[in-house]
Amino acid sequence: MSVATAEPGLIEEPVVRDTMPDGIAPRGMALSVALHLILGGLFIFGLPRLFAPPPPEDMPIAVELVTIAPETKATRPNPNPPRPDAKPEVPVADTPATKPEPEPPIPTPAPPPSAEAQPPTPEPPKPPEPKPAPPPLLLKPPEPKPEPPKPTEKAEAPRPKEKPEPPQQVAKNEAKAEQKKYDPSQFEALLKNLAPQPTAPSPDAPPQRPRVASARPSSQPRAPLGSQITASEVDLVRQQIARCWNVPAGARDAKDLVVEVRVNVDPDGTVRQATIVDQARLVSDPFFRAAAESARRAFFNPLCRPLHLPLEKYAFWKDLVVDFSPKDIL
Amino acid sequence: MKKISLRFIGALIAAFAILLHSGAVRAELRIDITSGKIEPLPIAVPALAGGAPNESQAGQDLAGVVSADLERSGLFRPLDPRSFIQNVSVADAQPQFGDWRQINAQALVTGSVKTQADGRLRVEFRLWDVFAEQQLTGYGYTTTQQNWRRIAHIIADEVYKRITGEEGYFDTRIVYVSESGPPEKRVKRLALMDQDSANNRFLTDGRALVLTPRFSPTAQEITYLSYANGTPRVYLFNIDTGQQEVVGDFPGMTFAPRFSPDGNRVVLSRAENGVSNLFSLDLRTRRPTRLTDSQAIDTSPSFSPDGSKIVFNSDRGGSQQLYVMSADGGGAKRISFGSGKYGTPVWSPRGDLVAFTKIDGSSFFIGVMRPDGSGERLLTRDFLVEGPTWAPNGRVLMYFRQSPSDSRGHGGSPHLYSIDLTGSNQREVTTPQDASDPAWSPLLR
Repeated sequence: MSVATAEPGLIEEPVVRDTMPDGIAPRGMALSVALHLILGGLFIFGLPRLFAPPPPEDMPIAVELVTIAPETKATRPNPNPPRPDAKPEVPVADTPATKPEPEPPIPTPAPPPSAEAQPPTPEPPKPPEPKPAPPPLLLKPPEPKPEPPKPTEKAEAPRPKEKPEPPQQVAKNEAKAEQKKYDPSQFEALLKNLAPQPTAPSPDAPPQRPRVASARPSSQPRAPLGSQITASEVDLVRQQIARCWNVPAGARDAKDLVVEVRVNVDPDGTVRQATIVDQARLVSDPFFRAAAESARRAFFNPLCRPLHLPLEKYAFWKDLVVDFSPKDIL
Repeated sequence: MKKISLRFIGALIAAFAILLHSGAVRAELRIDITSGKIEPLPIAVPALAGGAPNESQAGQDLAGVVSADLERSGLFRPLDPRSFIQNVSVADAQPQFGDWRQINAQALVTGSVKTQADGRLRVEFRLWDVFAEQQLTGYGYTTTQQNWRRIAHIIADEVYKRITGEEGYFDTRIVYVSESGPPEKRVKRLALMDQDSANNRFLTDGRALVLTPRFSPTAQEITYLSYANGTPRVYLFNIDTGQQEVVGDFPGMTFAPRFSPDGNRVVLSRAENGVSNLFSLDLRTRRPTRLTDSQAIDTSPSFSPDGSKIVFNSDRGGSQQLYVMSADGGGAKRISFGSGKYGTPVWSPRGDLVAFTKIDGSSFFIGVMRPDGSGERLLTRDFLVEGPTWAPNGRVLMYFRQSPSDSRGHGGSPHLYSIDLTGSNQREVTTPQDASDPAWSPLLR
């Protein structure tokens, strides 16, 4: 009995409790719980973002991730397209650039007995080429290179990387086009290449490409994760560039020769353009020019083509500023 | 209450949003590169193109000399011509850069050789940046056939200058003391050769002992010490005419001469009453000026490149140390404070360093320090190393080195060596006979 009476009593109690807080609790509590849930959710989803970023240095969050790859492929012109065939003007244009150098001193480097150095400009024995009046040494019309598949080559112009031999050209182009579609996977492939990379002095592009394709599926899911460039990713590329940089050692006051280079990078990691920021000093200071050119050469070193950067974070590194400072070395 | 908490929460959410978004405003990615590799630059120097057989031969010889110059500098690594893919027969066309990239050439020298109607050689060259696919520089020269080596050196200088930013030093010569014969009857002659050891010739016949030759900044004259008339005296030697004359009408012995940067004066040491002091002699008026008046041995004076100061060594403080004073004497300040003795200071042509010989214990060193005495660095050490001389760009030092003779009397002969300012790239400079006391000429042009 007692048990029986106790049961109803037990049942009733909860009922009473429900009704007791009636006026205030039901809605307020629900709201509070909901808000706490939201807050909790915010912390859960917000925190990783808040605290993951610290390691990366100065990274903008770019939103246009999706559109990037296609657009760079198609529209970017080759900054130094030296090979558009049948264009002797290009080489010619080059030469005048150096012409200013024939500073007065050099024209006379001739040995006392009979040598006279001639400033490149006055080059009479050059009847065949009327236009290149300025080019100093250009005697003959620089012969266009006999490369049959011009059209395809031009299409490929934006990547001045390797110059495929005529026969294989078409094939390579196709291959490249394909790979570009798979861009997101390239980083994966690059990571895979990391180990071999440092040891192999000149990893040619071709061998890498195939791996890109094979690596693609596995890398796909990873792409959307981690939108920040991490410190280790920056370190990786820093080390890579350091390996490509031939330091101008022993130059006078070399430690002051800090060179700032603005770099535009293609999605595949190859540097499209490397511009020395201090153009004025480039002209006025031959030591700086030598240092600056050594810095710029680093980006065209086969070891640095492509740069080891994660494709899915392309927006962060499509434009880089790289400071070369030999002060720790000398 | 409800409203407040809702607003509060709204603000919180907004704050989160801002926090999350703030990253987007940050600057572009910046990377600092503070290390790199110090390696010679891979450069390809294919034979300069020539039409006729003699031109081809000249083109090959020229490329060989350019290549050797650059290689000796330690800053370039000329690639083996056998690795070349492209046969540069058309020198003036744009190179196939891909072919050169493939063998890892970073720079490329192309050029051509032609024989003109008057029989002289016309040599042209271009320096290319293989990676950037740009021409860096290019010049043409005309000279007599015999003079081709100088053209090669001049081309090497241009390449060096364009790539390193510093003047080259290949179109230069070395004067030195050539030694032969047994120790007890040593013959010492002045000799002159190109910096790459070619075109060696002897300037004196060896009847009189000669020491410490120094080039005039004008390159046509050498001042040196000779025992020609029994007493050691400072002489001038004109390279073009072969004429020799005594410098100044000093009584007694004079030694350790050196030209002023403008070539108009010679500073030297003169022995007087058991001590020696420094004098300067105006070569036009032949009037001497006393620079020091000490009761010590002051010697080995060397001008700063701007001519305003002189570094010398003196034992006035008890041990032999380096001092710097103004070029008209006075205001001497000791700059060397390390252990051991310091001697033969030579001011660098670019002014930033003084090279010296140091003797510490039983070892000799060649070292450099800043003119204020700071930053002392020892570049090389041996049983006997002495007499540093600077390449005109202040980047390379030459000196002579002698190893101890063995029990059978072998070895022990002096030879010339060069070393980079960084202490690397020490190399023997070959000479037909034993050699000591080298002096580097300025650039010849």
